[in-house]
Amino acid sequence: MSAPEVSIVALGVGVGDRRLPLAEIGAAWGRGGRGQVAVCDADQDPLTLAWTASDAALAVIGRSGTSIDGLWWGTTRPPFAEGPSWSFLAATLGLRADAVGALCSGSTHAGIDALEAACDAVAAGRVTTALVVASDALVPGLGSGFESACGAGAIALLVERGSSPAVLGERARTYEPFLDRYRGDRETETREVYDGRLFREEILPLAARAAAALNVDPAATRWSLPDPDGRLGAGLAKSIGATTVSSAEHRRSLGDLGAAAALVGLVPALVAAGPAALVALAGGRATAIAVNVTAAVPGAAEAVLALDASGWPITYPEVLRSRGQLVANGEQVEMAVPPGSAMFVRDSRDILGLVGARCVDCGTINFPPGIHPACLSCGGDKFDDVGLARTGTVQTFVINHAMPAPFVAPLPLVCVDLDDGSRVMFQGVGGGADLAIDAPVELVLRRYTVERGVPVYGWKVAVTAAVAS
Amino acid sequence: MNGVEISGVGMHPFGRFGEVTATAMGVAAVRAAIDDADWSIEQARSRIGATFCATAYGGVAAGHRVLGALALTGMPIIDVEAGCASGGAALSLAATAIRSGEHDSVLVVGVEKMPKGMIRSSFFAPWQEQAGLAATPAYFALRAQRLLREHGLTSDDLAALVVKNRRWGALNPDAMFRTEVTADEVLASRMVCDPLHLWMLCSPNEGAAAVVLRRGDAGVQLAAAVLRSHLPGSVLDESTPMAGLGDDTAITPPTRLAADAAYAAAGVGPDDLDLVESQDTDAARELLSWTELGLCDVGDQRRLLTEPTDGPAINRSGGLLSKGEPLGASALGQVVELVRQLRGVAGKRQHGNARVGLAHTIGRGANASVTIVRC
Repeated sequence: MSAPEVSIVALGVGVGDRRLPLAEIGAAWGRGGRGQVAVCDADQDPLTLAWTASDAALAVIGRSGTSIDGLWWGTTRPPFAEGPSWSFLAATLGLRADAVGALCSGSTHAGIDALEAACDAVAAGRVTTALVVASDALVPGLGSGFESACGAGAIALLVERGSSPAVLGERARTYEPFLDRYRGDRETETREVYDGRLFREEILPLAARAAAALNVDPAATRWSLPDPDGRLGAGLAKSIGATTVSSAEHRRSLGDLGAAAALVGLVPALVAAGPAALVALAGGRATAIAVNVTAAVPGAAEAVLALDASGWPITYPEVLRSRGQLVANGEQVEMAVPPGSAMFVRDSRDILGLVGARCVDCGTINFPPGIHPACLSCGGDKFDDVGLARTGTVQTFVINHAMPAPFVAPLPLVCVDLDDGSRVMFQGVGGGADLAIDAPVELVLRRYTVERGVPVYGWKVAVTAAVAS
Repeated sequence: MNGVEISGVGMHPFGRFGEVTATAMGVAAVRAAIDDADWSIEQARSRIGATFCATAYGGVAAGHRVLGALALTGMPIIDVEAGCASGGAALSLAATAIRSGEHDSVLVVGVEKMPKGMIRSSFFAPWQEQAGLAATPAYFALRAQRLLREHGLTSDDLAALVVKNRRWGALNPDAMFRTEVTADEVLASRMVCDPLHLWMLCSPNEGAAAVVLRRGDAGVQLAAAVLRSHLPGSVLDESTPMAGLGDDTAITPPTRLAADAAYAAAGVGPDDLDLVESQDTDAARELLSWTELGLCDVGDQRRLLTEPTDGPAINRSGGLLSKGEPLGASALGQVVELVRQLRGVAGKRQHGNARVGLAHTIGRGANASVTIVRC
C-alpha cells in the first residue's frame, strides 16, 4: 500500500523590509557592485520573518493557530542559538498547546529537512495540519564576497493529507562530505569556500545528480534551483535540461534566502497547475522533490506580489547595525535581562500570543493580564482569557525624535483602539511618517531589541491604509 | 484660630548649579523662609513641630540632611514623594498636621537635583523601558496629539503659550531661562516628539523652595491643599502604563478631582481667582489644565492666549517653561510665587491687588495637587 498523498494547502512569505543596493557594499570596500539583496530592518530577524510568513499562510485560508498541530521550522539562524526559539514562534502564532514538531538547523538544508519531516508526520497520521516554516537572514563576514549574496526571507507552507492543489511527490537525495558554506564553532558569521571551479566541478554536480534522479521531464518542469553566486545556477539548469527556472527572478531581486531559498524559489511555480520541482543544495547534501501542482495554491499569488515588492532602501551602516555587526559603545539604557523582563516570566505567553483578560463584570480587556490582577476599569478580579483583535485604529501617537541608546530615533509610539474594544500601546513600525489619528492599523510581530544575545519580541503597529487629511 | 497661615517663604533659584548639592540648596531655601517668617534659627528650633521634605531624587532621608545642616533636628522629619506633585503632597500633610492640632508650626521644604537628560524613573518596569515606552516626553506628546485635535488647537497655540510664559519668566530672577522668545523661535527649536518642540518642554533641573506654616488667621492663608491620584481606568494621563489602556474619556481626571475638592474646601470657584500657577511641564499640559481647573471651556484656550480677559493671570512666575522643573521643589516654588504676589512684593511681575491664588501640579503616578491661598 502506498503512503497517503500530502499536499501544500496554503502558503505565505515574509521578506526583509529593506533592500541593500550592492553598490553600498562595494563603496564600503572599494570595489564595484550591482543589484540588491533583501535585508532585515532593525526589528526583524528569522523569527519575525517566520511569523510574517506563517500569519499570511493562515490568513489566506482563514485559519487560526489553533488549527495547527505540528510546527517544523528550518533556519540556520534560530534567534536563540540554544534556547526557546521554537516555543517563542509557536506562542506568537497561538499554536495548540500540544503541538509537536522540531526546529531544524545546522545548514541551509534545514528548510528542506523541516518540509520532509512535516510531510512524513502528516503522511503517517501523526499530525493533521503541519506548518512548515523556512526562514533565514544570513550574516556574512564583513568584506567577504558572500556579503553580496546574503538575503533575508521566509516561507510558510500549510501541509495536509490530500491530492490537491500541490502534491509533494517523488524525492531524491545524495550527499558528499565536502566543505562549501559553513560557520565554525563560536563564530558569528557565515563563510563560504568560494571557488567557481570547485562549485562547477564538485558541488553543483551533486545537485544535478539529485535532480536527474527524479522521474520528471526536465524541460516541462518548473524548477527551483540553487544558485550560490547568482551565476552558477544557469549552468546547473543547463546541465539538467531545465528550461524554466522559477527561482531565478527572486534570486536576483532578493539574494540568497538561505534555508528558505529552495522553497521560496518554488513559489512562482505554485500559482498555476503543472509539474514543478525543487532542488536544495547545502551542507554537502542535495535533495530534489517533485511537486505536482493541480491548481493555484492559496496564497501563492499574494506571495509573488510580496516577493516582488520593492522594499525600503537601507544603507550599509544601517544593515551592520541591525545585524549586530556595528554596536555603539558607551552608555546604554539599562534593559531587562532575565528575570526583569516580562518576556522571561509569567507574562511571556500573554505578550507573545496577544492574550488579554476580559473582565467578567465590566467587559474591559486588560493587557497584559499579568500586570492587572484587578480590572483597570472596575477593580473586578474575575477574567476570561481572550485573544486580542489584531486590527484597529490609531487613538493617538507620538514620534520620538530623540532617544537614548540603544533606541534609534525616530521611534513611534502608538496608542491603538483595537476592533474588540481594547486599547493597547506599542511601538510603531519604521519611522512613523504614515501615522495619523484614526488611521487603520494592524499589529505585527517584531524584535524590539537584543540584549546580551537575548532577543526580545513584541508587537508593533503598522498602518494598513492612509487617512485622508 | 482655625486658619493655617503661610508665615514665611524662601527659595533657592531654579537652574543648574554644578557641584552645589541638593542639601545646600535646601538649606538656603529654609534659611530664607525662616528669615521671612521673622524668626531666628533658635526660635525656629523651638517652634517648628515637624518638617515635611518633598523630593523625588533626593535619596534616603533628604530632609534630615537639610535640617541636620541647620541643627534643626529632633522633630519628626518626613520625606514625601508624589512625582511632580511632591511639594503639594508635603504641603497637604503639613496643613493637616496643624488643623488636627498636632503641631502649631510646620516647615515644608522641597529639594531636587535632577539627573540630566531624559527623566528616568523607577515608575516603569524594566520591560517597559525595554520596549521604548518609558520616554517621558512621549507621554506628554500622546496627550498633546489628542488635545490639539479635540480642542481645535494648533502648534501655533502651543508656541503662543511658551511666548506668554517666557515673557513673564524674563522678569523672574529665580527662573532658569530669563529671556523672551518669539513664536517663530519656539517652532524652529528641535522637534522632540510631535507636536512638542524642545522649547515647549520644561527642563528638568535643580532648586529648592521652603514654606513655613503656622496656626493663625492673619496674613496669607493656606485655604486648601489637596492631593489626588487618578481614578481606576484613567490612563492616558501621567499614569499611563505601557498597556492595559482603556477609553477614559468619561473618567474624571485627577486634576479636576483635586480642583473640585480644593474649591470646596476654600469656598471659592474659578471666577474668584486672581492668579493661577498651572503645571506647564509641556505647553499642551497647561492648555489642558485650564479646562480641567475650570478656567475656560474646551477650545476656548486661544481666546485666553490672544485677548485680554478679566480672568486670572496664569503663570505670572514664568511657569516651569521658564523656571525649569526640580520635581520636589517645583510645587512649593509655585506657592512662593503666589505668596509674594499676594503680599505685593513680586516686583515687575506684580499682578495688581491679587487676593486669591491657585497652584496646580500634575505628574507621574498620577498625582495631582491643587493649593489655594488667599489674603
